[in-house]
Amino acid sequence: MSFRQLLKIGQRWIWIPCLLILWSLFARLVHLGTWPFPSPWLTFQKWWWLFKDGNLLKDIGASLFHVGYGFSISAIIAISLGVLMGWNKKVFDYLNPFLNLIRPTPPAAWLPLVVFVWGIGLLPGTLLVIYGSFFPILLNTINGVQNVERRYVNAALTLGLGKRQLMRNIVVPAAFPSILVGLRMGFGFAWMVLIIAELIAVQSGLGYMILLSVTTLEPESIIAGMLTIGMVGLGLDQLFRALVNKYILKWQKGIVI
Amino acid sequence: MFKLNRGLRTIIAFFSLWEIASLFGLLEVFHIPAPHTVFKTFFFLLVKGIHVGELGEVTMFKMAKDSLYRVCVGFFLALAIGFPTGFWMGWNRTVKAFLENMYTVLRPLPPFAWVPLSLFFLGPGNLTSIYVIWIGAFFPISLNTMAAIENVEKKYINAALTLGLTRNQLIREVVIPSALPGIFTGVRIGLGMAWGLVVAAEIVAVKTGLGALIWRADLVMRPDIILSGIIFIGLIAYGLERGILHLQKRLLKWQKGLVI
Amino acid sequence: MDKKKFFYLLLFCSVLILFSFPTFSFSQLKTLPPKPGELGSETNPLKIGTVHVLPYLPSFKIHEYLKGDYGITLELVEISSSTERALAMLAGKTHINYSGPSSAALLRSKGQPLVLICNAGTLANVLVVQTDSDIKKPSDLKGKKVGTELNSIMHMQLLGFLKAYNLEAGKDVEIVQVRYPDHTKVIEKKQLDAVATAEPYPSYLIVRGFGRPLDYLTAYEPGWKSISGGLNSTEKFVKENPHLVQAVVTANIKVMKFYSENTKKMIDDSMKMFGYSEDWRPIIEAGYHNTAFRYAIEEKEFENVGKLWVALGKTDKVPNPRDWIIHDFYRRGAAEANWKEPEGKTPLLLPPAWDTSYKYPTVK
Repeated sequence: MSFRQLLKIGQRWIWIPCLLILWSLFARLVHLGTWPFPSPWLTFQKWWWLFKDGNLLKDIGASLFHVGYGFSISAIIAISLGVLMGWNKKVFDYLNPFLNLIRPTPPAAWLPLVVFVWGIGLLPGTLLVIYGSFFPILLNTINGVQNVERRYVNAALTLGLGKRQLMRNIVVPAAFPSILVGLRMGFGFAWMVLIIAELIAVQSGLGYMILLSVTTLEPESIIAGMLTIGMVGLGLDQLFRALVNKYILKWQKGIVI
Repeated sequence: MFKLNRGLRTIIAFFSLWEIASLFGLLEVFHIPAPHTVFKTFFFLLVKGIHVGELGEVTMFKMAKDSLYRVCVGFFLALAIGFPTGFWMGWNRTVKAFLENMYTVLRPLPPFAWVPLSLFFLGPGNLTSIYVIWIGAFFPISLNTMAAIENVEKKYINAALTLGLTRNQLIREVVIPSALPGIFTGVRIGLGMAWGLVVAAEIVAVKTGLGALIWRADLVMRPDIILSGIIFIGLIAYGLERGILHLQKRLLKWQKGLVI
Repeated sequence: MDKKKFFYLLLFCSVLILFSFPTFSFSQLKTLPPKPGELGSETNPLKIGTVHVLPYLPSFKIHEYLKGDYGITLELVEISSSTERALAMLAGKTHINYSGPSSAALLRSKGQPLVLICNAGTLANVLVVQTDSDIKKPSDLKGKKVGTELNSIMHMQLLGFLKAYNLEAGKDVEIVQVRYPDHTKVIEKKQLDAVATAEPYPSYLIVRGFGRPLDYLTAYEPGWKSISGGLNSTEKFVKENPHLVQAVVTANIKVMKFYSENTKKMIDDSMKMFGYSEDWRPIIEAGYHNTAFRYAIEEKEFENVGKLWVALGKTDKVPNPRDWIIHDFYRRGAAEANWKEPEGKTPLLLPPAWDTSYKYPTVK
């Protein structure tokens, strides 16, 4: 490889050693009383120890389950409702103002009330995830359905398609890119809300692990947990994009999300 | 009988059902208060407030003011750091290559995940909340700015350079104005994130604030206070959204036909 | 100069010399009230960490005594997690801290310079089971799920309780994490078999009929008394500002004395300061039947907590009580406030709430 090529690649990854150096310096200088900020080395040691024991994988799996469970439920409800609202003006007029009342409130604010009504368990734990991912999916679905080109619909109607066929073969596929944008955004929100949700009702998961690390005074575990959350979130997002671009949108040339 | 707006009908129906259910005692087992109780508590909190330690009675207005203070500081910090960073990343390819991967790794980290760590090392009080809010607003602002700057049409830049504009003039008169819609999208999302984090950021270490109000109400099992807090947060969120849309419309007046 | 003038000059000089010597450290005449800018004045208030829960009621009243008796201005810093509260104090963000023995013992065992100065004797913690459950004695807990806030004093006490009854936590009894405000909801909704919780939630569950008390979490072992909170500070602060520490401890004891003699005012203050709705009055009253206002620190209790942390594997040594427990302040404070704390192993204001002679008010 030529030096230029090496430099180009180096440019992209030089931030890693820079960050590690800054972090080490930070760890040396910052104290909490006599408590040092965990250095990169200690953090990675802790991370590896957690990984080796299998605890980390268990927690990752639990978090993935929680977010997957909540996200699927939210997607099903939001897409169905979105298609209905996007297509039918009457339904839209009835529901939209009411939903607009609820939309500005942040998901974390509903956490205490969720426990008041449902207590602890899987449903209340994932309810927040459902709420957090609901609105992006819904809004993007409505947008997608409303913006389906009129001529497709007219052409289909002219060709004598029934309403159901119209929906299944024309409207939903045409709205698909928007729906997928909404799903991706919704998943991002779901992952964000997951940590707050894991405060309440669950006995496993990355958020739970971080919570326990605070009360047992293990800042290395906190950072290790944070890094894992970031990496898993990133991995899922990239996976989502790759899968969608490869398999689902192949037929819509030129559309990449 | 005048014709009510359809949406209004849904809203009225919802509140009526809620009130009727609570009057029949159906909601007591869930601890859901009646709408009239929530209303009463809402105005009581606005005018008289609740007792906070050595401060005495603190009204919900003051709490909102404290929360807004934290959100504003965090948000403007995010603007101050995020906008230049995004600009440089969009303008300069090397800078982008340098920072882009760090972004990709740090962005999916939820702002709330920073709370335990920042509480450990920044301590209680406003600093932790401001930090969490800053981190939440920073990424949307900088990433959208970067995308907006990158997407400025090459032909404008070429035309300007042909006409002999200096670099500063180029940036000021051509690049930023044409990137403004994209930048505003980022600012809007960032503001939404910032205010949306108010409850999460005030969970542990602040005394007054709308988020703190909700957590205190949880400790004494007062869901009516929680709902009043949620209503107020929603109202302010709506106000902020309207405000920024209005600002956007005014600043982008010259872009006719642009629909947000 | 004539003799008279000389005499007065000598007197003046000797007085000057006398007062310039470092005075006896516990003297309050010299250093209080604080001068403007000094720690404890309006511009530089004394910061005390606490949390907005019923067991820490005294912390919300001491500002009256500190201002009235000593002229000290107080700023309360509220942090809901007890570990974070103690850490904030160690970082210098607060000067004195109200927190439970669990976080204090853990921090001390990790080498942090935390010292205990007084107990903020508070309400006992209770193991509450569902009203209709078949759990009649502690050994019935085998195979059941108990909820508590992990790593808090309630958790520590639960572990000690299980140990005393030869139940193994994790194997015989499953301990589940439930946030403190959610303790009542899991029993109401019958989602867990029992919950180890702190006032006012046990009284809430019992008065409203959702739960039944199984036992105090503290009263089973000799010497293991009911502590859920205490005052602590750092070694440095105690050495540099003993007068402020003494003022806070004395004020704390005065508040406890006042409340133990005026229970009605205590109930009223609790209702007002925490914002309970009026229908909670019987609950708060019942809760105060579980109150133990105590200032004396029992060294064995803190040693026991340390041992439990070692058993959990979170630390490897038990801090020596002699190193970090200071008895002088509260002894002096009690003498000043002229109050002797109640006697007995589990000194409560009134008989235990499930003493057959006491009837819990049955308010739904």
